[in-house]
Amino acid sequence: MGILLFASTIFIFAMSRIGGRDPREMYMSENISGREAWAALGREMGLDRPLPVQYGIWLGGILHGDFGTSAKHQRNAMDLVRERLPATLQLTAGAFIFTIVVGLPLGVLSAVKRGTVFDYIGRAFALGGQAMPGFWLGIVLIIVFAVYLHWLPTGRRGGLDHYILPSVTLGWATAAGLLRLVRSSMLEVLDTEFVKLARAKGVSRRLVIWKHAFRNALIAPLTYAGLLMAAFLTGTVVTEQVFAWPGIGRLAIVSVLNNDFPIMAATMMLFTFIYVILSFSVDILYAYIDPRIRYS
Amino acid sequence: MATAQETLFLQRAGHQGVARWRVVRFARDWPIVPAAIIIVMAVTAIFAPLIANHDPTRGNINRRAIPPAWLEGGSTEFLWGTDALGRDVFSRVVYGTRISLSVAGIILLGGAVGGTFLGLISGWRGGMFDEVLMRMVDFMLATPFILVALVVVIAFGKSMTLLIILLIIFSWDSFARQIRGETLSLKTLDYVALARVSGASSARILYHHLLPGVMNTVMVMASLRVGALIITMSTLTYLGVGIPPPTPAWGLMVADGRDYITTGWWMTVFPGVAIFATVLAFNFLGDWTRDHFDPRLRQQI
Repeated sequence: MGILLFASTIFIFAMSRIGGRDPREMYMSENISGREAWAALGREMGLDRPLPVQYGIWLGGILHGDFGTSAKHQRNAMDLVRERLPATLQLTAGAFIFTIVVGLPLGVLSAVKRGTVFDYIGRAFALGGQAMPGFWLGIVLIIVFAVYLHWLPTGRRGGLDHYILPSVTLGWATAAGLLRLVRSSMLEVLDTEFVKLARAKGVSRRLVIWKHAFRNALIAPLTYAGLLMAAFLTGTVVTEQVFAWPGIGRLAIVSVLNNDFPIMAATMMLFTFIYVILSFSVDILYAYIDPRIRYS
Repeated sequence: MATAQETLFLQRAGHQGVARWRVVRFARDWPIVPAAIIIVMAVTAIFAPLIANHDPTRGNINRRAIPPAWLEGGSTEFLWGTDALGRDVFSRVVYGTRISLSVAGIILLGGAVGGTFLGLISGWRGGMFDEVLMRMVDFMLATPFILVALVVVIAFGKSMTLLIILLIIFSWDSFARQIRGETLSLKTLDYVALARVSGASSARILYHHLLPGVMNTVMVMASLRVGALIITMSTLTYLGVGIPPPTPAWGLMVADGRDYITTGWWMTVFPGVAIFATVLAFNFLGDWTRDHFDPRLRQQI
């Protein structure tokens, strides 16, 4: 876990230097401002030292939570990230709610009422979610609900209605994944002996579904939940871009496109950190729920 | 396998009533619609210059944002309208098919061949090589690909070659892991031991005895991966770090049309529909291939 984080600091640093784009470009151009000022700025930023030393200084800063100052915003990168984080978390929460509220019941329904209209609706929803790229789904939703119907706003943060379209956009693919998982594991459980026995001895259908089957069918999707959250990470980059949402994802991509190194490093490290934490906790959750899995 | 599927089918039939018409049953058992879509796509890709009626990259200032043919102001000359630079949307989507399918094909081939090769060796040799390779696979699978791609592409500059290399690097891992597992179980079988006893070299065993045994899985995995691959490609392109303009790539068209959604929805909707239809068809076909040739994979993917 620590190794992954360490490797990603090396990766980010190496990538920012390899490309041949000088960090000084953010402030001035060599041609315009002359050699003297260019070199002076280089000294000020520590660019005249050997690369490993530069990396060491930078890493030392990171460990203290200091990612440096963004040249474009003239602000500390960490402050900016902290300022934008709530927007992303709220968006993720919205998408998570959508995922659970739609994916779970629809998954159970399409398993229980297999072959009926519910099943077809569920499967269409799942197939659509997995085949539509997020950016396009977002744009189509904007065109239909904002531009033509005028029901919802086109983007940016605001009241509750601002959350609907981005949440659906971000949550659809994960809801589709959850639906498929719940459906297949529910079908599997419904087919087991103990469920059949419960039915045979006269327990009502509803009780069997919700008490016997549903609880057991939830194990697989639960462990998958962490991975779903991880899917949100890359999803936020795209969704925030489509809806002009002032969150981390948009900050990340804008910084990458601007070669704004401090912000890029801060957002990338944050994403990696969340990602690592999530996959790590999935592993633990897995071992906890299923005792057959033990990590030596 | 056949019997298991028959029983499954009978159970299902019991639930929903036997399909009376042969056509219906045929359509349910064989992936006709997805296969048809893919064939149309493939033909479109191959004969793009014959099908497209305009140059996909050359615009004309005088015919900007013409709506599709069936709307007011549209003409049959520009079936799906024109974009903000006056380029024909239909022709661009047609050429986009060529780009998407060929790039996805190259990546998939690279990833599948590389992953299978490494997986076979890893499973066969074991030891340090296996250990290191599997740690690498864990590492790759735990990396948020889109973010890495963003950073790398910005560092090295946008190019088609870089995109392809990057996607190949990030698609061999799942093949390697799966094939390694299969190899581990295959190599304990008697026929492999017999081959060994009769003096076959490692290379011969790998190529003649183990590779045919895992080919099935490779094919099924590849068919399951196409859809996700096309989505990843178009997402990167949309974000501005994939296929560089003015190539008529679908993701790029959606990105270009984003600023004109209030005035010209057709610029974004049609290329998106193309992505959607293609991925949907490939996903259907992938599921079908898996169910028919390697149902065990259902558990693992």
